Amino acid sequence: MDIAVLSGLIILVMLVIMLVAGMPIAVALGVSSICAILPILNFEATVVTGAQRIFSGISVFSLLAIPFFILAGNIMNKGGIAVRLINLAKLVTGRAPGALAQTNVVANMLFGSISGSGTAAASAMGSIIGPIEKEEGYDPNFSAAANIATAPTGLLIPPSNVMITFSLVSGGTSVAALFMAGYVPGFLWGLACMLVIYVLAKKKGYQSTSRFTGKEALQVLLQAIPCLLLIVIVIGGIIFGIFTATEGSVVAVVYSLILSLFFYKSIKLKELPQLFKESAEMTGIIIFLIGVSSIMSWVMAFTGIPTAISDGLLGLTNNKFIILLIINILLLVVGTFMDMTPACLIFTPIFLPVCAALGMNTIHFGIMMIFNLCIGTITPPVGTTLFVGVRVGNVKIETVFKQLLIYFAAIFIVLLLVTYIPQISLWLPGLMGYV
Amino acid sequence: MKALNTLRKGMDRILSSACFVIFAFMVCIGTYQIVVRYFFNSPSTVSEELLTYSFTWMALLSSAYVFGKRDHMRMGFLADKLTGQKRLALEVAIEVLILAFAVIVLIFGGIRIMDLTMTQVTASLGIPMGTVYTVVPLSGVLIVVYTVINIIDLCAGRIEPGDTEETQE
Amino acid sequence: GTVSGRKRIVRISHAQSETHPEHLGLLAFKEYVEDNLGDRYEVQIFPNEILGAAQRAIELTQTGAIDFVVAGTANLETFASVYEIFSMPYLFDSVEAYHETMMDTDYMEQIYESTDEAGFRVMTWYNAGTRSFYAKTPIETPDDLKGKKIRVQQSPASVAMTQAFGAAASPMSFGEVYTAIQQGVIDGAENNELALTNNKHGEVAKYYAYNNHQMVPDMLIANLKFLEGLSDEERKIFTDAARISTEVEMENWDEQVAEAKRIAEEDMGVQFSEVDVEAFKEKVLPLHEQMLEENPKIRDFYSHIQEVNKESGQEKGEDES
Ligand code: NA
Ligand code: NA
Repeated sequence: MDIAVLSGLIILVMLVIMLVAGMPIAVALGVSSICAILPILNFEATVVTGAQRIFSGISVFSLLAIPFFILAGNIMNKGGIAVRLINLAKLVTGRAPGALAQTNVVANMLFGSISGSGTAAASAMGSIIGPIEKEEGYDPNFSAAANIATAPTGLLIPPSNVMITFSLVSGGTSVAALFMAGYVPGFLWGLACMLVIYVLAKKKGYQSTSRFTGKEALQVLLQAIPCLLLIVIVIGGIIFGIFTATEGSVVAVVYSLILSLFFYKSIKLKELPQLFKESAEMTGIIIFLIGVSSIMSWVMAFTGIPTAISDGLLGLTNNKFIILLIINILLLVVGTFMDMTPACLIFTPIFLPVCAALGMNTIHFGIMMIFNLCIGTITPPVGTTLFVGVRVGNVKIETVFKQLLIYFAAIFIVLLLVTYIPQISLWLPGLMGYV
Repeated sequence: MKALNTLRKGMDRILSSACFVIFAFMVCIGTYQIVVRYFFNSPSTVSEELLTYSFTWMALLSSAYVFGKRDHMRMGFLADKLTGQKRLALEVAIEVLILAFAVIVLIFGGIRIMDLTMTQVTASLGIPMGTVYTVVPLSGVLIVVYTVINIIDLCAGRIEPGDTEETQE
Repeated sequence: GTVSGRKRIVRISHAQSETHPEHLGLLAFKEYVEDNLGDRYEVQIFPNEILGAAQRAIELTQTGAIDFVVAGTANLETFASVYEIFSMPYLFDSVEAYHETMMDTDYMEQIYESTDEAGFRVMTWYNAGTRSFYAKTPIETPDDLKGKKIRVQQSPASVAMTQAFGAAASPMSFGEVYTAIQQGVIDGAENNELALTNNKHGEVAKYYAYNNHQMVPDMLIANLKFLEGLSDEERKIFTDAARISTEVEMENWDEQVAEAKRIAEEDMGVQFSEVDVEAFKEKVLPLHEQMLEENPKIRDFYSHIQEVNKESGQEKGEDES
């Protein structure tokens, strides 16, 4: 039997069994990859390759942005930035039908854009706006669905850790270019959901009564400026060459530390070690996975698995429209069962060559793939953001899922737009001179 | 039994403190790198490598710590439905596989790669590459100790089989 | 290495794209080996560092997971310090002297054997051209480099050289260079002409100065156990294949450099300038003494190269007169 097919089968079968059994994903990846090359290489070459791949998969400068953005997100979460952003979002959405839910969407986009985490957005926003919505007579399932459906926008609107991971696994695609490319798709996702909310809220008669006086509005705006400044400093600094994308993450940490320690005084110095330790833990989880999955990418390249799969896909048809549709559906299925980082690490080396052969730009492919996997974070059975949103919204998965279906339809339409209209992703990076 | 608990707590404390120290160090070096290049026009020739390797150490040590807490990302949608003896057997089997992976890849492979690279020096710091690689077998040993304690605790009923959190991103 | 069915799969890893001269040279290697030993060997080439960046790929070659790898001499320095000599600026007086030294297979063989203890042997060399500076602003004299932030490879010798020129050496990973120049994090870099087109640096750095500070070859290395396991007949075929791959690579190199220069000039608007090389040389010549002092292992090779320099200088003089 062909080496690629044999190794592919070993990996697939072992991986599925171990994942279903509830093994840590990283270990399941490592064990199945090692077993796939043991029959080919000798024991020594196999274990050295394994150890070396883990190490070299981790010791990559651009990955440093991940712990730093996680730390910055945790500092901001604790530092009371969420509340200030909600007030600002309320000011923006005003008295539109379902204004509180619309506020939630805008706040998710703002907060997610800073913290780069869908779960952080879902928990922070859901737990603050949710109760207010209930008081105004909103159905909790309606509120939770709006919160859950839009929490992943922060993963598309930069900065975003999964884009950094993609940059690495796709062979060094510019992180700055990916960041720029995420803006429009992220906004479109948010807008599509706001449209759904508008229609639903109008039907249900959710109309806001709260109103800001001029003085209050000014105060809200002033209070939010330091938070917004963070976006300006980090993204602006990257674009104007004051620091690289990786260094931008350090700036985010330092800025949010100074803000919450000295200006808001919302974090005490002695609370810092705990914040660092929690961030280190989350880093350990993600980075170990990245390290071990680089064993798998190596084994796949070594045995020629991606080539076999892409040959198979391209042999099926050479209609670009159909192949992209197949890839999207495969990725959606993957996303329902798998978290973003491992899915990105495993499937980029498989699908990128296929799409590159079709003449697709790497940045465009990255955005399409991340968009897809973002949807996965809010679908059962494995959807971290969904779980968090359900928990803070005090609802049941079954009932909120029914409400979510219409959002899925809207998001899926945006996905198709992102897939088939490259300009949605490439316009902004092109404007900045990255493409 | 009490000794085991003390061992686990001690390792936890040492590891999480080590991660805090390295992480804080990384923030300082990262800031230093930007400041000296942008404001003093003298780029640091060592900071990038120092940052990368500190980060690698921090990430591997903290991932060992997370193995102790049994908190690595997993898919529980089927496994969590099992209960009782079956669940216990499954969880013990998982710990055994983690242990095997740590021994074979991280410890065996890690020590061999250290041997291979002791004469190599890193590009800008000039320290032996083998020294930098030490963290691989080190984290392997830590994971082995944690999994052994986990297995004993699981069998003695001191930790519930389902006592693993669904991790958030 | 692997045995699949009857055939032994020979795996070669390198860092370049599939259109790079080195890849084309390796295709010739594959063709020659398979034409002669096709019943026993299948050669697979892995481009773009997919099996690991050079230093890591060498480690895998030591264990035999990979059979051949193309790596820069900087990657070999830690296994045999004689390779440090190639980072010496202005080591060769001319391209002719460089090629003549590297083509002298009998002399080079003793250098190639110096990594045997580490479990691998150099099979042949590939031309990687001449390195010069390029930046966002013109570089006409060494003074133009003063205070500029220049990306260099992460090696102490490159840092020392760039600092001797008066520039601020900024070692960063190659993949970050494009955006770093574009955004002004650094002012320029140093490389051969292909970096302008293959890596698109010509889009962001418009001035390329031919100060020619280094000629650094790439090396094709092989797992020693693999070589020793070959029969005499097979060994000869692999050796010949390596030689042929160098010939093909060199032809393609010259063509591609000419093409790169044309594209950079016409499509990207890069200005190439011939500068007073002697003025640049003066700045860094003290590094020769310093390096010879620090590393006795390069002394023999250094004086051998000086002889070649002298001879080829004389020939050149005779041709011109
Ligand atoms: Na974000
Ligand atoms: Na999902």
